Amino acid sequence: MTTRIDARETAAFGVFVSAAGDIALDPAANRVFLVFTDPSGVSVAGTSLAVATAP
Amino acid sequence: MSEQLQLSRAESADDGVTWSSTLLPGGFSARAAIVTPDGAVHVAGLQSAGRQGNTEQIGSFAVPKSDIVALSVSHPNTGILTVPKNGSSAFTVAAANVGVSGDIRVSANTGRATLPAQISCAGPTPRPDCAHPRSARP
Repeated sequence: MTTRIDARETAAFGVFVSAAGDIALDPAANRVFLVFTDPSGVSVAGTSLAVATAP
Repeated sequence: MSEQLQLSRAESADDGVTWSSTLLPGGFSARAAIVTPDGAVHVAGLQSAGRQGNTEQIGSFAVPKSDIVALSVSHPNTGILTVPKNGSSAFTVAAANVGVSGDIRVSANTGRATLPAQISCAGPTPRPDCAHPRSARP
């Protein structure tokens, strides 16, 4: 997905995760990353969240 | 020492230089960067999480760039997205551009881990007419 974000502007994204099996609670390893890059491919931001399936 | 420090230099098309370091769990660090410019230098980006884990990344570039501050929020706000097995769940990412205006590509991945999960993304919503449809693995 590519979108324009103007200076001093905010944007919100929804990230949807569907699990087809067990995902262990291992926050150091099992994470979903969202990576933001500019048109030249330079990373300009990143964030992540641990993911696990319900016991 | 609780930190492993990795320094690298990568020159991009606009002569960008990037340093990165990795912090071990429970670790903390402080550092200073000294930049001696031979021209206009624009510093962009302090990432709290990169593609390969908890990584800080600061870049300096000859041209101004977009600089996004992004935060993930789950509900409840535990930092862990709990997904029902064979079900779905979602979390929100708020992003603010503290750099210059620009087109930003947003992609999702699971880093080094291979997880039995499908990821899709929707947004952004700064303007009602700007919503994008959900897409698999953006």
